[in-house]
Order: sequence, then C-alpha cells, then structure tokens
Amino acid sequence: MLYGVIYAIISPLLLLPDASLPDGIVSAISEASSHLAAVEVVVPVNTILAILAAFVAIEAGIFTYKGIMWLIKKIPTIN
Amino acid sequence: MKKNRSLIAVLSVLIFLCGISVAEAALTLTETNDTAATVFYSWAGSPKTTDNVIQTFQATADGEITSIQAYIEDDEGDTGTSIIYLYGTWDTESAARSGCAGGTWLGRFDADSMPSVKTLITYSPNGGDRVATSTKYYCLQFRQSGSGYDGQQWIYGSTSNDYAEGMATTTAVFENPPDQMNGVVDLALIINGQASQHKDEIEISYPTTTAPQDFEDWEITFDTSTSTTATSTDAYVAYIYAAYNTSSTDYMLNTCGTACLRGVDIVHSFQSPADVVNNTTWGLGTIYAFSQLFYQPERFSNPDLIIQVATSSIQTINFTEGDFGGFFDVPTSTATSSQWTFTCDPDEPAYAYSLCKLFKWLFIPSSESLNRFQNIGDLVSEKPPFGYWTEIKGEINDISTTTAAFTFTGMAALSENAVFSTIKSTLTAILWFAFAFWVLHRVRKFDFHT
Repeated sequence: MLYGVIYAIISPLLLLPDASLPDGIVSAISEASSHLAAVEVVVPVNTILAILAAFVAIEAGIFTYKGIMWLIKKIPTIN
Repeated sequence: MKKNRSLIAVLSVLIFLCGISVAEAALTLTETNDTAATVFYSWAGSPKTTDNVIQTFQATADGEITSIQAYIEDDEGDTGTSIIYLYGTWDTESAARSGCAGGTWLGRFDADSMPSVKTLITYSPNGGDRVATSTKYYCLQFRQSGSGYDGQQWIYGSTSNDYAEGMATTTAVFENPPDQMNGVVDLALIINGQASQHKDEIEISYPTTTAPQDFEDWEITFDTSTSTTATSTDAYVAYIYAAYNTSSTDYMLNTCGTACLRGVDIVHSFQSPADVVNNTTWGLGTIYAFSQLFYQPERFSNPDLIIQVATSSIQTINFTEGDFGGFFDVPTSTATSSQWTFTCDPDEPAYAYSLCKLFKWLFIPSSESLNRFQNIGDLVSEKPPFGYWTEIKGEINDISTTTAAFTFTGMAALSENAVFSTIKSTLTAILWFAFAFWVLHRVRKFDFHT
C-alpha cells in the first residue's frame, strides 16, 4: 500500500521524458577535462575540482537555508 | 519557531550532504575515461569491502589503437613494495595465452614509485590499420613480484573478423585476491584510440555493513530479450552454476562445474538470439550458495570464468545492465536475507497459527515488495528534476585527467621527477588545509537566525 502511495506521487514524473543535459554543457565538461589533463602532472586538478564542488555545494546549501528562512519570515502564522 | 528552525537546519544538513556527494564524485576522477580511452580492466579496493568492477575490451574492425597504458595506484602507507611485471605485444602468433610468453618485455614497475599512469605500448599514429587487414593478436601479462606464475594475469585477444564487428576479447578476471597485491589499491589498463570501445562491465556490490548470513530465497534472472545485434550464427553461451552446501564456508573459491552441484542447481545455457527468461527460486532452508558466471564466445574451447561469488556473504549480486558480449543483457539476480523470512508453525493451535499468519501478512514484507522499494530510486533517477542531478553527477564522474587534448613539451619528463610529485602533494595539502580553514571560518561567522 505504501508503495502504491509513493508510486501515485511519483507517477506524474514517470510520464515526463528522461532528463538530459544540453549538449553544450556535456561537451564543455569533456573539453575542459581534456585540457586539464595537460597540466595534471604538476597541478592537482582533481583536488581543485573536488574543492570547487564542495565550495559550490556549501554555498548552495547556505543560500537555500537563507531562502527558506526568508520564506518563513514572510508567513505570519509561522513566525 | 525553534522547531521550525531545527527542521530547516536538518534540511540544510541534507543539502550539504548532497554537496559532499558531488565532492566525492570529483575525488574519484582518476579511473574514468573519455570516448577515446577505455579502461577495460580495473578493480578498486578490496572486493570484499567495496565495489569490484570488471570490464572487457573490444576492438572494432575499422579502428586503430594508439597506445595502451597502465594505471596503478599504490597505497603510500604500505610497508612493502609491489612490483608489477608486464609483458605485452600486439603481433603475437597466436591468441592463446602461450603466445604472450614471447611478447615484448614492457618493464618492471614499482608501484611505489611509478607515476599513476604509465604508457606501456605506443603505436605509430599512421602505422596502418592494425585491425581490419588481417587477424592480429595482442596480449598483456600482469605478474606481481614474488607471486610467481600462480599470480599472473593474462589479458589477450584478437582482432579476428570472424566475429561481428571484429572482436578482441579478453580474460579480465583478477584471480589473485586483491588483498595479496601489496600496497596496490587500484589497477587498470587503459586502451587509447579509435579502436577501443567499451564492451561490457559487470559490477559486483558487496554490502559493507551486512554480516555474512544465510539466504533462504535466492533468485537469478536471465533476460536476453533485448538483444539487438545478435544473429543466428552468434553462439555466445553463458552458464550460471549455483549450489548450496551445509558448510558455513564464507568464501568458496574453488572452481567447479556440475560436480559441485548438490541437489539443487541450475545450469542455464542459451544461444543468442533466442529469448530466454528464466527465473529460479529456492526455498530450501539454509543455503550457502555460490554462483559462477561463464562467458564463452564460440571460438574458445574453454569458457572464461567471469565471476564466482559466494552468496552466503553477500546480499545482492548486481550485474550491471548492459550489452553483455554485445549480444545479450547480463543476468540479474536478487537474494533475500533470511532475516526477512518468518515461518508460522501449522502445528500450533488454529488461532495462534491464524494470528501468526495475520501478523506475518501485516508486518513481514515480501521479497517482491522489498525489491519494488529498492527500484523506486531507479524509476525517477532519470526523470526531471532528479534526472538533471543524475546527469550532472555522471558528467562529473566522467571527467578524466588521463587523456590530454594536447601535451606541453617536457611535461612527460616532469611526471617522472620526484620533485614535482612532492610539489603536487604539497599543493594538494595546502589546498585542503585552506579549504578546511575556509569552512571553519564560514561556520563560525554564519548567522543561523537570518
């Protein structure tokens, strides 16, 4: 039954076509990686990418947090 | 208000964890490949605790291999030295393993000091078509120092056009338990050039938190109905051997055929392109089972053992969906833990038996239900908006630093220089330290009330 409820909730999503990234983004990532490989010998490219990803994730989390807090303050019955 | 903010804080933590997964994806960049390079054999970590990936390699009839590289990652903290011997050649006289013995001595590589990626063979860019004109063979041999020939690993194949698309197949099973590879935590061969393409992969998932346990219900499913390229002349045969034993042996690594089967067994063989859907379920009490999957192209007299696992120590065997051998999908299997099996005793009084059945129906999920819940994620993983996340994560995973679009003069020499290796390690440490300092500063200055 629980599965049925969950399936009913997600069923609209199943009607949608599969998501795909624009070709430009895919090719850009591929192109960038091939160029980064040229300097990978002396530059810790993997580390930089990992830190960049973590940085973006943290900032995105903070941004979302602030957005939710701002939204809460806009609802008088909650605050 | 405080409760709401606590909820928000929890949500933020979840978002942060999502970010960590992105970072984790970026951290595992070294083993990926782009369209011009294929890692056709690799394993990462110990297969007893982490995922083990086995991949085979196929050369197309009109392509050309430009180079073969080895990727070896060594645990710098290990106390021993791992030496990898490599023999290899392209134009041996035979596709048999013995043909590799006369191959070119490629070198003796110290995993403690060699660069992460070592080019083993480089072919002339305009050296002619090595694939289409005639049958060519290649082979590579891995051998670890001290292991003798017992520990050797052969990877060999041919470009015979006897096969559709021209083929080169490999034996890509690391028979040596990886924990015997002193200090080597990852090993892969990388084929560069147009001739290489990803043929197949099998992933074996070993749950890290599940203790070895028995299984009372084990199902293996074959499905070849989605074959698109098979013809009546293709005779790829796969066998699954499964057995149960009263022994509690956690790992049964002996190779055996039908002689090992005791009472309950399945031996499925099928010839593509026939559609075969086969489900077999046991309910025979304690089962310590193991399975073997053989992959046998027609030309080889002996099938290649792809995988053998003891199901007594695993919860699921996940054969990745894919074009296995180019002609049929790999089998999938599920195993249900005995923890979920509950039997009502019919000798009990009728009311007790009925109550037992009722509570079992109410609270014990069936294996089908469990499997359906496990598949919920798959249903939406490709759909918007989750699909964008999946795609982005996949693209990040596919970022490769192993194949450069161009090379700087002298850069290859730098890779051999220990000084630059030290500089790179130092830079890495500085970057992580700076990042940690930034995170600390960000958290300290963060106003949670705005």
